[in-house]
Amino acid sequence: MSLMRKIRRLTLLLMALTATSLLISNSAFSQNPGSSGRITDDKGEPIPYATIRVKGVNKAKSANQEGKFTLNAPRGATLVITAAGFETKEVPVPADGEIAVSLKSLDNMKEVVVTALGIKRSRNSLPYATQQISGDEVNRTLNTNFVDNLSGKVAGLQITSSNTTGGTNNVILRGFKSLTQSNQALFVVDGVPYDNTNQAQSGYDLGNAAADINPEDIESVTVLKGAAASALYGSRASNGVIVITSKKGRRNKGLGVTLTTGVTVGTPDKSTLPVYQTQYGQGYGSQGYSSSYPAQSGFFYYTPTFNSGGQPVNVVQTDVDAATGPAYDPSLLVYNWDAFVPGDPNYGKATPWKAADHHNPVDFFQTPITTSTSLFVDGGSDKGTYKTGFTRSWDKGLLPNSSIQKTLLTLGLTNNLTSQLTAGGQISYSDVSSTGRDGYTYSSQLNPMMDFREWWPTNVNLHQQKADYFNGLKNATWNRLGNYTDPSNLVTAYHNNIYWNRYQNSETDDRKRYFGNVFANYKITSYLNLLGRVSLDNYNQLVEFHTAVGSVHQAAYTRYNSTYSETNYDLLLNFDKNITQDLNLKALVGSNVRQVNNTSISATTNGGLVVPGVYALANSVNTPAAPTETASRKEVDGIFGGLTLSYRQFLTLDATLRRDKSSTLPAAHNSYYYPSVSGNFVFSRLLPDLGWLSYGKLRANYAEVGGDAPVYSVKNTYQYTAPFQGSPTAAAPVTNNNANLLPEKNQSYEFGVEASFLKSRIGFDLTWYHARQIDQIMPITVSSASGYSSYYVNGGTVQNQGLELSLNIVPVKTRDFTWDLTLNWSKNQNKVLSLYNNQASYLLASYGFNTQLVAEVGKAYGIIRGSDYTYLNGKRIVDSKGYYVLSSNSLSDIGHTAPDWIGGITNRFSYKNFSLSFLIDVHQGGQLYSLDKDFGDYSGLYPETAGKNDLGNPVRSPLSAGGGIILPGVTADGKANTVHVDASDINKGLFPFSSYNSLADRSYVFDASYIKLRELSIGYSLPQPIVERLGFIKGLDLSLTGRNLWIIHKNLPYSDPEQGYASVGTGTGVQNGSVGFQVGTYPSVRNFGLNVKLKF
Amino acid sequence: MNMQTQSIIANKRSKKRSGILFSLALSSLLLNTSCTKHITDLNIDPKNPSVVPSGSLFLNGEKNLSDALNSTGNGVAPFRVLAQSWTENTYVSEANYILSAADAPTGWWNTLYATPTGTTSTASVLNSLVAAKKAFPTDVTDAATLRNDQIITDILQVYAYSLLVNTYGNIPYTQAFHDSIPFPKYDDAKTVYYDLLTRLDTAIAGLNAGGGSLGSYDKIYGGDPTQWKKFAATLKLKLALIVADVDPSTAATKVQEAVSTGVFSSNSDNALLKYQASPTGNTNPVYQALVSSGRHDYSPTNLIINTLLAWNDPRLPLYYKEYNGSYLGAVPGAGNGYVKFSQFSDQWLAATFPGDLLDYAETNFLLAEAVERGIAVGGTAEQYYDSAVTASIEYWGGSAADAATYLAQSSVAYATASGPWRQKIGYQKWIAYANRGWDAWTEIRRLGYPNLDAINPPVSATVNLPRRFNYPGNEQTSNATNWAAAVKAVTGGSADLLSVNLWWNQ
Repeated sequence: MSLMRKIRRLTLLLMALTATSLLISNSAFSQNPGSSGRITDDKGEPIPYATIRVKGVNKAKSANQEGKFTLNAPRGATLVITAAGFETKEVPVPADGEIAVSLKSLDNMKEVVVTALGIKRSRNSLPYATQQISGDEVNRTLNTNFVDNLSGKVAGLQITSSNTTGGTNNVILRGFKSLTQSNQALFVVDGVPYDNTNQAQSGYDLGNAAADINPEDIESVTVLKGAAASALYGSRASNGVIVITSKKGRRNKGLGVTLTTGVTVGTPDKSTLPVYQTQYGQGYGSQGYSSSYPAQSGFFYYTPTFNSGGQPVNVVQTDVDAATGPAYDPSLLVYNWDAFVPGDPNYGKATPWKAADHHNPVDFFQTPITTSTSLFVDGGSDKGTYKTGFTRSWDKGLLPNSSIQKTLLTLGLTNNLTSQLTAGGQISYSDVSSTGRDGYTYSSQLNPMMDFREWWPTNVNLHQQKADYFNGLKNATWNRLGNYTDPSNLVTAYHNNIYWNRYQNSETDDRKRYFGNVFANYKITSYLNLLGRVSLDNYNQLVEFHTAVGSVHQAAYTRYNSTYSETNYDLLLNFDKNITQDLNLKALVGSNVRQVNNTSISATTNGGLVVPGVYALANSVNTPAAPTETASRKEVDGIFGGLTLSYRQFLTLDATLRRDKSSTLPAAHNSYYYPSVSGNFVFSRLLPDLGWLSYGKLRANYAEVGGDAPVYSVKNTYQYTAPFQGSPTAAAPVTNNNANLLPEKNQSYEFGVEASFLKSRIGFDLTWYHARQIDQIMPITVSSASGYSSYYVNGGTVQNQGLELSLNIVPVKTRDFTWDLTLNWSKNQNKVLSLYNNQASYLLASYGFNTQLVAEVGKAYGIIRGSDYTYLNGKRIVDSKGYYVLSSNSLSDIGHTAPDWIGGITNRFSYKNFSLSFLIDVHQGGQLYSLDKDFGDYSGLYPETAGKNDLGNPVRSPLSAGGGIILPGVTADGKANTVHVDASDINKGLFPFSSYNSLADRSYVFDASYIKLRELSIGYSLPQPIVERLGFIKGLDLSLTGRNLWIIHKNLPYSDPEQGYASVGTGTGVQNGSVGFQVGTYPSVRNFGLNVKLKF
Repeated sequence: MNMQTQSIIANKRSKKRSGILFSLALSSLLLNTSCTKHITDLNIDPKNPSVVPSGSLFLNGEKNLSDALNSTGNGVAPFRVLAQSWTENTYVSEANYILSAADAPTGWWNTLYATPTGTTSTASVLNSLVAAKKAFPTDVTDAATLRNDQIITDILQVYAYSLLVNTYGNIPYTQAFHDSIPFPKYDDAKTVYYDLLTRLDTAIAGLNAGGGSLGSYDKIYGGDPTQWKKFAATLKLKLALIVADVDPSTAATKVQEAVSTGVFSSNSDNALLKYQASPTGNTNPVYQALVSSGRHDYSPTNLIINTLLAWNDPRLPLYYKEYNGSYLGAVPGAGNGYVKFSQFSDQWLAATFPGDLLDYAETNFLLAEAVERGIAVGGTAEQYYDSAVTASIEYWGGSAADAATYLAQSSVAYATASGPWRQKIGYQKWIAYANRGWDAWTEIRRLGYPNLDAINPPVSATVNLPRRFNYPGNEQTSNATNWAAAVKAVTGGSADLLSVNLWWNQ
């Protein structure tokens, strides 16, 4: 059946369901005031502060400290009484209105948790580590990508977000497992996988597809950390699962309208921006000096200009993009870059040589603003439930001319066709369209931060650049070369005008996505249930790239169209029965068929654009080459079963078995089975006398998960290349595929203990896990002398083991005031146990600047390699001239990327209707290599390359004038270095900064630790009496929020250590290659927001 | 029947019906989805072929070889910079012999062996030629044609291997291009070299002038076996003389064999690959790098401009354009700024300017050298020298009269030009090779002229002209054991040095 026909059928079905739901009506109650009562526990002791709600009406009341309450509720209405640590109870309001309720004490952790395949289980019976956070918790601060907001909230979950607008996040659970393939956790929405593919294209960060999820529609997020928890999802879940449960229509709830609106304003965190030296301007030392020039002042060109009357004058080296030029001296009049920009006030004028007033990136950024408005309506009756939602958000980014608009629509229906049969469905539509996304690569056109961090002189005034651009929309750059006697012949050297890049060379993209499912649930008997479900995840994306006529690069237009489609067919039969009074048996058999189809087509103009400003393939100067097409298809058929035996609700044994058959593996090995066994034991049940112990549970599990190969890794294929001189050409494969691939395997075991004490005022959950990824399917980087650059093999074993701790403490709890503290901490130890062919090391990524990211046997994933120094007793050795003696091994181990531990602490205070919470996020250890700082030092941008030396003279003065710098180190005989090295002229090799001069890459490896005040939120809910008086409003919540407000501690200068390429990558091992590498890094943005939530 | 019973029955019926419907729906779903019997068929890439015409692979290899030789990228082929035919304007790592910044040792190696995954470029030479050899038997039915196809492909392989072995020293050779060997060992450079000479012997003996071959897939000679035989003989002449300093007798034998087979006899024999005006990927790499990219990275050096000026070389305006009415070259290793130097001529920068793999000028320089080395090839060194210079001038668009005037000058005439034969030939070869960077660098290493380290060292260089390339970083990381053995064999130590002479360059 064609995809379109499938979609059509689903749509028809949905429409039918919609029509049915319109028939559903709500019942109403007559008001009849005057009830009061008292709530006690099963021993007759009062329960303080219980909540009493009138069922079907959005009305609630708190009991007082003695458990007493009064409430306006009609006779016959049902009251729902909830209290922490007690079972919820429903009671009718008796005719006399006097209510006495006793609640049954509950094991503290008997909350319901959503687990694999959307199966709800009581926390009591869970034999593996999961952590659940509520939608409110996720949305505490307004963020159109909710994934960012998970950081620090779950033990063992490492979120690395890029600071780019709408950019990528890395979502890693329990460390890196796969050396070459994605380590990203799987996203599942309402039991159905939600594609989270990284959408990076041509150097632009287009974010991950999970950003299409409507944050306002999230009821809860459950994180399944280990293989046992996720085994039923199959191989793709081996990196853990983020299970998202969307909001459901609720029954009997008045109008059920929720309106949420918020606005967030951002400002860049200056501690993550470069600080420049302001003593030396644009130039490259003595470059351009020629004996044919009679004289020159400092490092200027001494040459005639168009209005110097043929006389040589001092001209700034405008062809250079470095700050290794002449010392600023306002008494000196020179021809700066602006003297050659027609229309600029300084055109044709010599001006004082000094740093410009507005040369810092903050002079370039615009104020990021996010607004989001969301309307949800839900409701239901005995016949079924419905929800509809609409969200519109708009992000204006940090960079000029950048914005992202999202429109999200949701419709969900369930209909109880009979008492046994329920049918329903849900569909969300999202449209994400964007202009001017942030580039992440080493490219001036794509990424202005590359300019600002690496190749930038401070004599450039950004306000002037802006005015020059808007004065006729010209590429009025500061970086031009040619003959200064004719400004019209000057051409752009390396950098366009930065505003020209933003407004003329911007990228645009649009993604339209449908995600939904239809299901039918048939309750065959009280203990047997059959669920059938078809779900669809489908998106189309168009990304367009522009290079305008007049840019450094040849004008071009490129368009990239892609489609993604995943269809899942699920059939689940559930059995749940108490076999004896003490023994409960749950069983599950099911099947899942998953079909994935991706296509893309990309075409680009050739040889420039005929008509400027027209971005169409037909506007190509030369005939464009044939478009590049890809099509990938995949199917995995799974069958699975599970058994759960519970004895008196405190001893649970769980077992699952799944078989997958994957299209991507060779036919002989395309089926693979994998089991899991788990058990738990609520030991507190046996210790009822220990009053201080509220709850205690032990759990253990073992699981295996099999995995398949990426598509098309079995058979070699050729690649078409452009016909040459009328004959076809084809390229030989560079990846040697493997017809004998076997499924890979992840083996893991886990032990955990959960306990709470002192009436649940203190609780913790501690997990130790151990996982091994065996027979990894990977394209290993081989010697290209083999004829290939990589071979697909089963090779490599990676081990992850670690501890995860969640701790919850309620230090203070009174009627009006509560202080609640949650701590999440995890430590993962990663170790590469073996590599294919007994190799000692394996290249994960070349950063392309003579530094590498490698896997080494015996070490943690992600070792940084590059040049290093030689040492004597830990001190760097210098030679007789005062320069460092570098190690002859140009690829030494110089850093490691894995963090030692990560953690987060949330403190929440609530007083009456006010609440205050803040989250501190900690990332300890791990390192990164900063190309930004390395190249920035080369170009003399940072203060470390200027200033005064130990003698009190300018470092950049010649040695003869007392300048130079002593590189800290010792001579071969151990004496402290006392020799100054000259830093006066980079053009003569006299500039000892950066790894491209005399330093080693080691100098640019930094500690990536940080402590951040990630979230701060102050909330206020309109008190219930006021709400009741207002009548039509059922609730009003206000919150003031802050995100990324303060980096409390970091060791990386001028940048945010959390940054990197995030999961966007380069070179080999695209998924993971970006770890520990900074280039063109965007600053962290502090966000301040106001949210209003209104319920009707 | 009262209303209630009716409704109960109806309810029961509806329950039953819905149950049946539900079962039907589910079973149809299952049937619909489980009919993919041949699930592995999905794993066949519909967009990329598993079979292509063998000639298309050959052509890719041939073009990639020309692209590699003409590449200007400082991350692939900074040879013109090393040889000082041109130099870098502002960022001057390679000009000062720092190859680690852009990592040409990795780029050059991968370009010749196989290009890494993830790059959009498919510009690798040997893996295309190896694939072509494997594919010929699948679509070439005529035995004689098949044999010629294989031999012509082998000749280009020898060419490509000679670039590798004369750039790095020991290289993977016997274990290279075996699907089952991801990490090949390195072979001794000398052994590889002699095997290449043997392969040329086999090729020359095996080419069948009467047989067919690649036809239009060969854009150099249109598949003409006779031309390829000349090419192989000329290549043999070239490779033989490279070892003449260390193994004069083999050199002499091979040179004489080559001459008797028949080497290039005019510029019309030149092995030229004509580029197209578009698309960009089919234009000359120099055009791509210096024109269509919009970059201004290179200027001619002061050494070459001043040499041409001093000798009134007719190639000066054929190579370069004046700047402000005069010719001015840039200082190697200094940041020069682009502002005030001569730039390259329009013909040199043309998209369609051909790639030159081997030519008649070179043939004559080699024959002149053979005479000087006492190898009996007939004729005098001066005759060959004059023919070489004339061929070069004519190739670049000058006339025979221009050449005669030029050669009549005492500074240029073979009899009176300064220095030993190595210097006379070396300088003229270097001028002729202005756009053949790798050969220019190799001849400087081999003949010693122009002696850049002495006459025009880059201003910020702390070392001498590289005598070889170090191995790629990936070899060190992934092929560590074999890499270490090769480094030991080539350099005598554990450091992969640029300063070590190759075996023929002692």
